Amino acid sequence: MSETAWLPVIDCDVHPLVKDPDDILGYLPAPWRRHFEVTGIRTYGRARDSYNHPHRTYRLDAVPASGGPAGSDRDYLIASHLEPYGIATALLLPQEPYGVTAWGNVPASVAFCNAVNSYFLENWVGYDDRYALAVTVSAHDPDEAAREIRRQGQQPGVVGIQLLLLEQMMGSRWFDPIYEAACELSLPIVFHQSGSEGCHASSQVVAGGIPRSYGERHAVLSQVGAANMVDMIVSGVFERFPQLRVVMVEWGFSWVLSLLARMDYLWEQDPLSAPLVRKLPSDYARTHFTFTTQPLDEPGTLAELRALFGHPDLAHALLFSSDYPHYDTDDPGFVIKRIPAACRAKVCYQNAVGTFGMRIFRPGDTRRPR
Amino acid sequence: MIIDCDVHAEVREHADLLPYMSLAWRKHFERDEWLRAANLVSSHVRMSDAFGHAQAPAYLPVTDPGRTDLVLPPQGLAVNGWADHPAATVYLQALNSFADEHWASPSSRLAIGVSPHDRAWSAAEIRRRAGSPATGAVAMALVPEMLGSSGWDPVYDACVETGLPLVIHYSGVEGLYLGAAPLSGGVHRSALARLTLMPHLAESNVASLVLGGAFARFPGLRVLLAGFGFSWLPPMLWRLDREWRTFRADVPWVTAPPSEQVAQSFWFTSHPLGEAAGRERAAVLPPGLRSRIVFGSHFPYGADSAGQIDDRLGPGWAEQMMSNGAELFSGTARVAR
Repeated sequence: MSETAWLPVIDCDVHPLVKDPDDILGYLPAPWRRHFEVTGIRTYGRARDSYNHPHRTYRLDAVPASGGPAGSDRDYLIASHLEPYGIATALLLPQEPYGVTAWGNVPASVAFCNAVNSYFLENWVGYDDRYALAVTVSAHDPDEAAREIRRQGQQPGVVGIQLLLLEQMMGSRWFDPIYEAACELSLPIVFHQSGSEGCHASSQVVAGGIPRSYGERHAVLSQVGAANMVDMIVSGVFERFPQLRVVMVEWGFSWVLSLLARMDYLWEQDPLSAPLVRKLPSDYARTHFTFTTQPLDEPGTLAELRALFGHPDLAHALLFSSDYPHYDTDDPGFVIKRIPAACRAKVCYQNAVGTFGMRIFRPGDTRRPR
Repeated sequence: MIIDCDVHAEVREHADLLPYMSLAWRKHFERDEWLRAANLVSSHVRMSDAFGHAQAPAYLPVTDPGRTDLVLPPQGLAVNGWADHPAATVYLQALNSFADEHWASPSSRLAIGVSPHDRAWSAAEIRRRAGSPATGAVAMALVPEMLGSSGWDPVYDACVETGLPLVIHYSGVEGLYLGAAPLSGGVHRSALARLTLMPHLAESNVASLVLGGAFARFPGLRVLLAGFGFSWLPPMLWRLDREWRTFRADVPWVTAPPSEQVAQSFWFTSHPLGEAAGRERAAVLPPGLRSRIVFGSHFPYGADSAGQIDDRLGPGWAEQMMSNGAELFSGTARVAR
């Protein structure tokens, strides 16, 4: 760690969990509390009977001694993950709301996401300045989502909007109320897989069909991120919302260059095929998209890795992320050293500041760069 | 020597296929909408939103001994969007017979069409046509059952037995027609989005074939992924190898990194060269993968020419691609050397 210890690190993908989903109940209006007391709360998106993880989805060493699931103890997370690696800000992406992508009950999904936002604002963001939050909204009801963005978007520590998808792709005008609110508050959309991809009739899918196993599905899951990026560009989202920014979390990034090269080439061959596209697709990508680093691919040679990080389309677009406390966490002590020295500061925090603004460093934080 | 592994030939009129059908099926197909659909079916592979387009020039069999074409009729691929599966086999059988009479030559090798809707018929069709000197490969379009499924074993068994490579090429109705393979994400209403995302079909099926154990069951199976380009390949193989390392206990029949299997059993065509060109964009292709890229012009749709290869990708690429093509067809085709 010695060569990287001086860098402030912003970890753009940390999943805090609640000790017990029932802890959320206190943040719900009474009628919804009674509803969930009867129905219980499904907090996961993936169809666990269909795509069961071969081992477990979390790190055993992230399970706190205080009880509860991995990632559920805010002090232990600080002591075991933030402090050892000098992480100045952990962008919290609560995962309990991922379950609503399997819910059919629209008002229930709205009420639950809103309650989770209130819970984490009070109990985590309000607890330590190193915690920042992307408030979660789902695609179930874009008007309600926009209302929640405006309700919570100006709270200290809120730096983005975690958008959960159903079958609608992100280029759809369905999302315009959400994008309008995001632009109004200068909050980027944070797009992370919910786990339901490829599982339900209301889910987005990978190409080709239904992968047989968890690992096979995981090898191609990045396609869902890529498909939504392409859809936003061809659908003219950024012509409608020139200020909108999108943070692609846990979709990988090594596929971006070949995808954009293909899209640019095909668009130049036949611009009529996408009448809402007004300039090179890669120009939209450069202006509006950033990508988190986990899971960092492992090319055959260091030269290939350097070429990726140093590419002009990516150098300003990569944000460090660990995905703590999941099984495939990128260990900051290992991964940051693999990032070529020339772009390390950019990836560790400068690009995040460019994406989220200086508010990604909380006011009381002494680790911010001077 | 030019070996072009992605050449398309279309029937001009569906009525041209009627003589290759039984009287009963001829009566079935003699309906106005179908007879006028040849142009519609062939337009799918163009991936254009335009409602009309000029008909492709008629394909003429190659007479130049310095050239070999692999002829892939796109109309045969589009059966992956057909609802009437028995009719699809009749159509393919007629198309294969038509192709044998009109498009084959010692230098024009046919990728015979088989049906993803009827594996028993497909296996029989492969064995029936393998004896013809014109047959160079087996083309099958994609449906939602991915290629690693053991359901395809009858087709693979026939491919391996006859020494014919399996060619996978999009028909253009993927993500568009129900019944065909889906594309990534959700519904794509733009042709640009669908064509941009088409290589995902190749990614998913590479993963499915390797992790699904197709090569453990059929070590001699050879697969040509045509029309999908190749610059997506290195990142895909990094991911695939990583998942195998993490979850290899889940796929015990895969005993080596998937990238090694890909470098042994797969070939990829070059079109569109333009996406891989440009030094700052081109994916770095490790030496082990360079031997897997064959030239495919995609004639007559926005085709690349063999003369463009070195200009676009750098010196030595054209020679390498032609040598790779000869390797792909060694033992199955009389190729110009």
